[in-house]
Amino acid sequence: MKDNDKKEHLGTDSSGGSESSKPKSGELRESELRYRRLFEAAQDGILILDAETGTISDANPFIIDLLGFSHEQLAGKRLWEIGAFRDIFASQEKFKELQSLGYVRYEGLPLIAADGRKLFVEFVSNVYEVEGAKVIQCNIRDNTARREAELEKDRLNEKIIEKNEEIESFLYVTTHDLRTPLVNIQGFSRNLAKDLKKLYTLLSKADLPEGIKERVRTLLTDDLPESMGFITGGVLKMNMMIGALLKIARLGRIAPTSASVDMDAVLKDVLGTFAYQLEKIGGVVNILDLPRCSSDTEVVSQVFALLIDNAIKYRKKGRRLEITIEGKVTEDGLVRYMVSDNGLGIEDAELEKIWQVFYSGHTADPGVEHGEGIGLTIAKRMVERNGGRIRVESKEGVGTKFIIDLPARK
Amino acid sequence: MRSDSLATILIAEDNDGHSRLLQRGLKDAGAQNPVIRFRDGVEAWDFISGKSEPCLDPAKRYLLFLDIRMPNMDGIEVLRRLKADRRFRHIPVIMLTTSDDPEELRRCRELGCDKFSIKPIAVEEFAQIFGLPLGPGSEISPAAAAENKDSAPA
Repeated sequence: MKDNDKKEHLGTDSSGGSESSKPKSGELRESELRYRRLFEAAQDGILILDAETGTISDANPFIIDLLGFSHEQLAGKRLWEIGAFRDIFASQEKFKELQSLGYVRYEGLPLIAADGRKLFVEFVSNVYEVEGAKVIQCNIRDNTARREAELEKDRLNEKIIEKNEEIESFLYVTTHDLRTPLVNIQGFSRNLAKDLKKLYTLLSKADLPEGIKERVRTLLTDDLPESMGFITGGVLKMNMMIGALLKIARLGRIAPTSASVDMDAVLKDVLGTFAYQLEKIGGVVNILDLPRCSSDTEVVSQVFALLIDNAIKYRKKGRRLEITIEGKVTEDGLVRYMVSDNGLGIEDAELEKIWQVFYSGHTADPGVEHGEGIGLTIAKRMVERNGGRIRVESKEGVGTKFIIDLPARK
Repeated sequence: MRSDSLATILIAEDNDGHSRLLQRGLKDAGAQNPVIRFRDGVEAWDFISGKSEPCLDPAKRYLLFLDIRMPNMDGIEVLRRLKADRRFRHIPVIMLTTSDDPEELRRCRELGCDKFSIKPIAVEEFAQIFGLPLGPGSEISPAAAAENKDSAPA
């Protein structure tokens, strides 16, 4: 209570001493005490200034704690004489602004504490009258921790973007570089196969001893071609994989453009390319109302083409393929498109894997034709690079629904 | 000498294997033209621009196979310099690459390359390459040598 007394004294003293000269009723004193307690216990810093001179008449314990200046160091000084506020109020411009406006608010004000700590505060001041005299109350909220968390978040975000770019470029460069040795394996195994044939022709004409001729024949017609076959097959597969990875890596190097996409026109074009296939299998595509989105037209067209292609590939034999494409504007400013089919569907356990590179579904099904296994990987990357999302819902044996959210507007 | 009447094939390729594959491909396709190989873009450009000795002979005809990725000076830069120079721009240039990067293809087309091939070049592609005109007033393509194709192994 001793501390309180001192401050109470200081407070009354600096406000002109007019209150102390008058005898107080019990009620008034009680109310004053209550407000005094609020001032003392506040978890925000509070400074009371003389509105004319800018002299600090009172400071609550929180601000003393926060800045590390003692009550004596603060009281009686002008705001701009305190180290922490020196830079901000140095020109006194801001103080004049406060005097004339009667209110100022600074969202992120940097302050330096007595021990050099950098603080970040929200600073709100009001001018009001107390018994004829103008008083300024400054409320100072310590936002240092929040600010630091925000800065840290920004730093992490930047790091993620940087890392991501690094990975993109790493993927592109390594994949590209893998092609160099592969060209040699490809080309020279082609030559080897050619030379083997020539060797066979030459040796079949040559006059070799019977036992040797038979062994040479086995080598040239069975063993060597078998090895060559596996090398060629491996090279083909590897070449396809590198080609697919390059396609994915290149996506990271092209910045998508953004325009208002006329979905009816896009789907007319896309469906045109599938017309023959759809007719052959007797499939139908129902297109419902499709709102425009803001995206890269080429990207949207490729994503829909891929989803329709997948629906055709993974259709259920013996059931007429039906694809429905619909769309709506959602509450959060996105356009949601849905592409549903009545095809083979996806097993629950496989649902998350479909986005992985080189994944192919229904590999055990002999009736399904497989591609490079990169379609959905590319679709996901494309949609995400356009500021959208894509997800899937599916029931095995019933059908699959792809849900694509794209920005409605720029 | 017969080879005097044939165009000289210039190969700018840093990878030994790729260069051997190309030379073998040319041979298998029936070309008997003299070949000069450079290991990077600088060597190739020094030969073409006359900085090195021996160098390009303006009286002779040439065909250039130009790898894109090479140390010191890449193929794109050599292509740019060659097609920007009226003394050399008639020389057909076949750009060699390991991947079908559309961006690279676009750059090369823009600079005026005559053909763009992904390594290793398939046998069928050589016929197309031999059909490239070798410059103003030139009627004879290096494929003239390929006429006696029966000398090529079956």
